[in-house]
This record gives sequence, C-alpha cells and structure tokens, in this order.
Amino acid sequence: MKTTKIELIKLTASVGMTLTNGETYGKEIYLGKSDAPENWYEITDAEAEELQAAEQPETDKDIEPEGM
Amino acid sequence: MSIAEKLTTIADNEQKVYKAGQNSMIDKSKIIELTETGTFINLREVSEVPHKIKIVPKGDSATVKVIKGRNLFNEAKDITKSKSYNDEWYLIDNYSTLASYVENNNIPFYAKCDLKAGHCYYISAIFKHFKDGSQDNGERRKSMYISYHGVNGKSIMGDGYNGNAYDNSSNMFGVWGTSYSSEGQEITAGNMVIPYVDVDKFLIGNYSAGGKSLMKKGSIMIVETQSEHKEARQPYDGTTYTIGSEGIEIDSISPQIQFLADSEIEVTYHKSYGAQLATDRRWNDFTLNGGRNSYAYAFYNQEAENFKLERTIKPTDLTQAFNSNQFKIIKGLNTSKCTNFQQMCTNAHVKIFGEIDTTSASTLNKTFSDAKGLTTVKKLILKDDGSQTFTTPFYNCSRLENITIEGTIGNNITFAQSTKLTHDSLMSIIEHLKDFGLVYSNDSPTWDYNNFTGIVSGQSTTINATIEEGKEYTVRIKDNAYGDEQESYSDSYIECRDFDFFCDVANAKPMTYKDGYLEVTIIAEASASGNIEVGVITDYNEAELSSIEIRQTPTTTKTLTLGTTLQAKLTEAEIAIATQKGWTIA
Repeated sequence: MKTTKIELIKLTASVGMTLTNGETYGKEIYLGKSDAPENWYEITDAEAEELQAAEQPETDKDIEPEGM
Repeated sequence: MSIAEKLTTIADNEQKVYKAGQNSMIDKSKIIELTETGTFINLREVSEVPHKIKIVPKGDSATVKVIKGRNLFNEAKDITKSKSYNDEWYLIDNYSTLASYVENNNIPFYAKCDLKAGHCYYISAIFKHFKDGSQDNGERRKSMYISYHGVNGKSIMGDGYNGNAYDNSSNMFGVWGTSYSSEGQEITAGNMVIPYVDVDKFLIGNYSAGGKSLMKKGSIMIVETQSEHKEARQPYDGTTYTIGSEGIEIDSISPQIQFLADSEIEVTYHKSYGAQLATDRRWNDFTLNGGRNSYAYAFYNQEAENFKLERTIKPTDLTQAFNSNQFKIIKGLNTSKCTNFQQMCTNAHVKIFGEIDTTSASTLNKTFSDAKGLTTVKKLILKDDGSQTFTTPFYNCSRLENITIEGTIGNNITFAQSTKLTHDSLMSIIEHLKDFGLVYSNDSPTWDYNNFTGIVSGQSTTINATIEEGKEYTVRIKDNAYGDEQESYSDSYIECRDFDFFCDVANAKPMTYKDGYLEVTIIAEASASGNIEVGVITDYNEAELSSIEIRQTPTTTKTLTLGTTLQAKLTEAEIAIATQKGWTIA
C-alpha cells in the first residue's frame, strides 16, 4: 500500500463573498506552495463582479488594429 | 489534304466540330472519337476549368497542330488605369461616421469593378491622413480600406475587414492596409484578395478612430496578379505534335483549344488536372509562392464555412487573421515562426482548431477570445521555458472541451469560462504548468560507475544546474532495480561532488526511499553552478538508476484560474500537483 501525504491549503469564501488577491477572483482557492493565506482577502460578490467587469477585455469586433 | 488546306476549310467544317464535354463535366473521362480523317477538333467549352489532354492516334501515327489555344489566365493588368481622373482629393471621415458618410455620399465612394471568382487581385489606393483632435497626435499609422459589395449575401475570400462599413445587407467586406507616416503624407495601402464569387462594386473607407483621410481620385489600383505557371501558356498556337501509337499528353489549362489532325485520333481530357492547376495558381498567388509572411486580417469576417487552406501557410503575423469569420475548421497552419496571435480567432465561428505552435510569440493576447463555438484545440504548443504571458486567450470560450498542451505554461492563465473542459484537458494543463520548484531534471542521464574515495562502489552523473548556498534542495533519483525494497537502501547515500556540502562519503547524507525514488534533502553549504557531479553510493551492485531531479521550495507563485466548476472535476491529489509546483488554483 502506498501512502502519499498531500499538503494542500484551501481557502473558501464566505457566503456572498469572493476571494481575491487583487488580480484573481474565486470562491475556492488552493494555495500554491509558496503562496500564503495573507495574500488573499474577501470582498463582496457585487464588488468582485464590478472589478472583473472593468478588467474584461474588449471584445467588440471593431477593435482597431494596433497603432491606429 | 494538307494541314494548310484544312485550315482554310475550318469554317466549312463547323458542322463537324466536336463540342466535347458540354454534358460531361466528369473528372478523367471524355473520349472524343473521330470518324473522319482530318476533322477539325474543337474543344471549346470542354470545361470551365483547365484540363490535361491526351491524344492517341487511331492508327499508327498522327500529326496534330494547335490552331488556337487561349490562356485562361490574364496577364497582370490594371483595370482602372485607362480611366482618367483629376488630381483632387476626396474627404473621408473617420470610421465612426463612415457609414452615414458613405450613405449620404454614395458617389464617388462606390466604384464598379469586375473581379472574377478565383482570380487573385492586388487592390490599393493612395491616401492622406490628418489628425482630428487629441486622438491623433503626430506620426502614426494611417489606414484605409476597400470594401467589396458582397454578391447574393456571400462574402469573398481574401483579406477582409468589415469595420464599420455600412451596407443594408451587411455584405461589405474589405481589405485594409496601413502605413506609418507623418501627417499629410501620401501613403499607398492595399492588399491581395481572392474573391470566391464575382464582385461588381466596392467602396473606399477610412478606418481610423480619430482623424480624417483624403483619398486621391484615380488612385485606386486593381491589378490581377500575374501567374508564373508555365502550364498557363500551353499549348502554344501553332505547336505541331507528331504522335506515335502511344499517344501524347498535353498539359493545358485552356478551356478553349482547337486542334487540326491529319488522321483519326482519340482525345481524352481530365478536368481534375486543371482544377488542381487552378488551385495551385490561386494559392501560389495568395501566398506569394509560399513567401508571404503577414496574414494579419487575411480571413477576417469571411463567411465560407467550409473554407480550407489549400496550402500550409507559414505566417509570421496572424493578427485578427480569422476574426469573426465562419470557418468551422482551421488547420494547415505552420505557425512556428509566427510572433503575433493577437485576437487571431476573436469572435470566430471555428469549432476545431488544429495544431497551433506559438513558440515564436512572447504573448497570447485574446487569441481565441469570444470564439464561442470553439470545442477543440488539438494542440497548443508553448515555449518550453514558460516565458510567454497570457491575456485571456480563451475568454468566453464557453464550449471548449478539448485542449492538449505542449511546452510550458509559466504565467497566470485562466480557463474559468471554459467550464466544459474535459478531465484529460485539465490534466494536460496541470501537467504543463511550470514547476517553479524544479532546479534540474533529466529523465535519462548517463550514469557512470565510479569508485568513490573510501567506498566500495557507486554511480554518478553530471548535471548542469545552479545551486545557491544556504538553500534547501531535495535530490530525487529513480532506481528501477529495487522498486519497493526500501530496506535495501539503508546503507545508501547520495553524494554531490564538486561543491562543498558533500565532499566525501563521511559527509554524505542517508537517503530515504519514497514513491520509487531515492531521496535526500540537503542544505547547500556553498554555491555552485555548471557541471556538478551527483553520485549514489550503494551496498549492492544491482542499482539501475534512471531519472534524476533536484527540487527546491518554490519561491514564485502563479495562478491558474479554473473556477469552481472545473475545480470540481479534479481530485485534491491532482490539484496538489499544481500547488506543489508553486501554482495557486483559483
């Protein structure tokens, strides 16, 4: 029998809240080995939606060619 | 009757002309049998495409002369050159008002043309550009486009950009070109197109967010590209073939050719040959005989669902190449030299994208964004060093199920909106995340037997790595011989020579056996780089060492954003593969 120890730190957002590190948003976050819970904090879902909407890429088909 | 005599009687022989092929547009089959020696053979209307012709005499031999062969393809020509224009300039407003401007100033911005489907044209015009407010400041690119009026709701194939061009049927398709010049400087912009339907009119526009352009009257140039195919000129008028019993095959792409034979012959022609020549010609022209590099906007907004590349093209620039087009399958691209994939398939209808090699690009910027029908990317090849950055390359790819990664993902990336990704696809992504804890890895190093000082025997290999003093490293070596017999390693050691922290066996650290690997964790007592010898000292002779890797605790954190739906498709052990590499899974 092989036994493997998995070191995993999982953050779960509270109800109505979203976790973010300022760049990424999520409800459940599995931290990388050098990441730390202190790097993540909760914001409301509404705030998260607003922030993410502002960061969405332009998808208009009329995006101009670069330099124009 | 001599051939010369027969030539004079062509008109009289009209009743004997064989109009071969009018009802036989079938590949590789049409036999014309002559029943009268010396009959004039007219292959007029044999086919709308070129063909290969085989002539076999009914008897032992025949003499056949080409009376008239017409080249299917015209030489390069300027179809507007004969028109006279004065030197005035037309004002063309910026793109935001182009639609109404065109609508209210229908003439002269519409122009008639006569573009034939399947031919390749270069279209250009001369412009001046002026700044307009704060958006246009000093030297910058200028752009223009020529929009084609689609026919019967169809687009054309070729460089196309819709922009804000306006048409009631939304069938404007264009070609745009840019030039970088100072304000007021004349520029010529244009590109090549291959319409797949006949096009009878087009318009000119200015695609610039800020600024007005002037178009020079009479500057529109439409040139049909010149074919280099020798076959296009065969057979030549007056060529005489003396044919033995085995016959002769003539390469021809002429749809209209006339022969005069002095004896009974049998003629066979092959449509498929000509069709291939036509395809060759179109693509040779379109790809500049394989030398074309930029395919930016090349297939923008095309409507042909079943379009396929007839050549493997080797673009260096695919900016918006397939943006908004309706191709269902895109393959046949050799993108290994391509440096720009910006919005390559944004809004595209593509379902299956073949292999895409991005190893020459430093970033993937919205490459497939809003390709909402995309289900499969057969292989996404990334750089091995993980240096590429990603700006939502799969944004809104909500139907994406299958993707295979090759190379290394080394920067933040999100697949959160591709909630249909399969488990295999997710594992392909995870397996190709850069391992920020990996210092060195070799699946098959060369292990040499050595007699280390003061010990019985051992094996060693040389690695090329950098070790920093004071850092903790884990050395893992696979031994295929002993498998799970953990106790066999009780007196075994890993020794790293050539730097100070293990200088001899007395200082070597005992190994542990874990998951099939010999493993030891050490703290470097000195920095070292370059060739470092790593050895294993065992008390048995059967060691069969294979792979080796050296790891450290990752110091970098990157984020793979999957969202809860995709996270739920993975076990915690699978997620841990990523987190152990230094990746946070959001």
